[in-house]
Amino acid sequence: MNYRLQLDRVSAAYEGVSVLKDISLVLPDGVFTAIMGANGSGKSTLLKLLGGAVAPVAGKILLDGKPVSALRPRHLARDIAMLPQFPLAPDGIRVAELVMRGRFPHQTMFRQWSAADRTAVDAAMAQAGVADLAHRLVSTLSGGQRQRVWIALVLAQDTPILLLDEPTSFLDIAYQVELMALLSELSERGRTIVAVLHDINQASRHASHLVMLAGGQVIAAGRPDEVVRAETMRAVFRLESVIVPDPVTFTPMVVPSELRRNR
Amino acid sequence: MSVIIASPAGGIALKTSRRRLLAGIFLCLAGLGIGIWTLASGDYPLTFYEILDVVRGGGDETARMVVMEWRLPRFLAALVAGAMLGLAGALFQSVFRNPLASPDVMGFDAGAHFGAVVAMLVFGGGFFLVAGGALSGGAVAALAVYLFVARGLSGFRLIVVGIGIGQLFFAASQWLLLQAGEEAAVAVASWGLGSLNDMDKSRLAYLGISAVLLVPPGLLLARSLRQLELGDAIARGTGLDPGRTRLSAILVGLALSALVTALVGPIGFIALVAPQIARRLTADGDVALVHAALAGSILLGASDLLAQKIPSGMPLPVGVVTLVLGGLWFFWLLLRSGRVGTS
Repeated sequence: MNYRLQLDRVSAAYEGVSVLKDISLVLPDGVFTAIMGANGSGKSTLLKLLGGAVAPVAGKILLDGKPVSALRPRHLARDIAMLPQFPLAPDGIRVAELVMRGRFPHQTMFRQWSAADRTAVDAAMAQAGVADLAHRLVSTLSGGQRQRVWIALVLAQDTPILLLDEPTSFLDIAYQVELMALLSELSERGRTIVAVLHDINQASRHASHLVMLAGGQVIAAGRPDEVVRAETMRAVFRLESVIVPDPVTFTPMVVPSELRRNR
Repeated sequence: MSVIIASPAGGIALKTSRRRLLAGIFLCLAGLGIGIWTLASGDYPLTFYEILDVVRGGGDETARMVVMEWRLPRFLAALVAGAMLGLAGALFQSVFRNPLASPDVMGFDAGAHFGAVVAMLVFGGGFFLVAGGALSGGAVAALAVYLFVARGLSGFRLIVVGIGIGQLFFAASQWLLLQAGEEAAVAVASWGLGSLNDMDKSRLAYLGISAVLLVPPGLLLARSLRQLELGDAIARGTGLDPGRTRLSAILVGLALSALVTALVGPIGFIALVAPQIARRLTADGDVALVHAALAGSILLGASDLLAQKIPSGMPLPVGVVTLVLGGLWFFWLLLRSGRVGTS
């Protein structure tokens, strides 16, 4: 298993409170990895560490063996793209212009446009399914359309590694399925995808590597059939469940076995 | 409709749009019109052709003096100071993501004014002292506002804090003026309203040097600010250092508005409205720094022309005119939002 991105004994804190404790993890290349865990288990922090947005209090985040903190932001941005949970769209901007802003790390002060930018933006909009919205005002789009525009922006950044923080929230079930399919398709074409996700059954279907966090530590990491087990669900979510095969994909599916419970 | 301006080899390629180019041309033409009107009108009226003669190096002696010594320096000062204020406002409004966050509303100008008053009354004045005083006063006001931002204050409450800090500095300046001798107080008070009436070539030169030093770095921030407006996470993810961009924009914006305050006096409304006009004209969700600077030039040029046209016992300071226009602008905004609210 090849990997470029790795956490080596990393601890992180948020406003003085420890969030992640001594985590070591590799993110396999060309694989769709889903990061899961209970609320407040440090999923988002883990993603921010990988993107260089948060500095660890101990340990190292390595890209090709070099600490990401030592890389210039612009160079890091050519390898790793990050879609946060709440990006901001300026008033009055149109879809194609917003997607073009993903090309920032490939541009300079005096070369603010190139044919490669145009090609990358067109390809990204086609992949994310927003090509026919190119000239629409972003403010007039539905939540699902908007989310796909942001996906197009990070795709236009054209990085081998893509980090996404809860990309399916605010999407209806049809868009969720579509987005998950897009992410696994991208990983099949060689991109490394790391996404924080909530829906375990969806993740089992589409992602091929799962990381389960609880209490600031990695409880389990591996293929869905290795990770999604009743004892993991108990350890991570304190949830009693039965694991059955998904009737369509035969991947593990979690069925909670309690109807009422006290946490 | 995108327009790409590129060198044949592709080493330089700048992107703009037809709408942006047209808006820029429109603003330049408006400025030219106001310029011709300013140079032609007054107690000694001149025709367009007389002005043209003078500008080409001809014309009779009186016309030369009226244009080259009086009207042109004053008009140029309005253009340069207006551009500096428009750009400063655009930088702050972008960084704070708030169309009201201009240095006059946020109290930075009042801080600069206080610093300049201290320099004049306590240390005796002189360009470098007054400029230094204005820069430090503006920086103190900005720091005070920043401490609130660091505690998570944003949006409308941030503006209210800025207004409060501005009022504190304003009161402090008034108190100092009351303590000063009558002669000094009168001199400072006439500057304190923001006036181009006694603009001379040396002050114009200082203004020009300030603009040459500060306007290009300000305009070059456009690319980073455009990215920062997508939120810190996207900005950082696409290779920008958000903290550094914010600090640079605030420092350049502060220096721009503080130096105008030092050289011309506090002039409200321009830094607030010019960027709003610029964004309305370009209307593409992108920062519009060049257009804000042009709009600032035109607004201050037009305000100064108005100041000269309004009949009054004494020469009217342009700062008074911009304050009145600012009040009307707010009134219009209120009426408009009221209509939106009830419909």
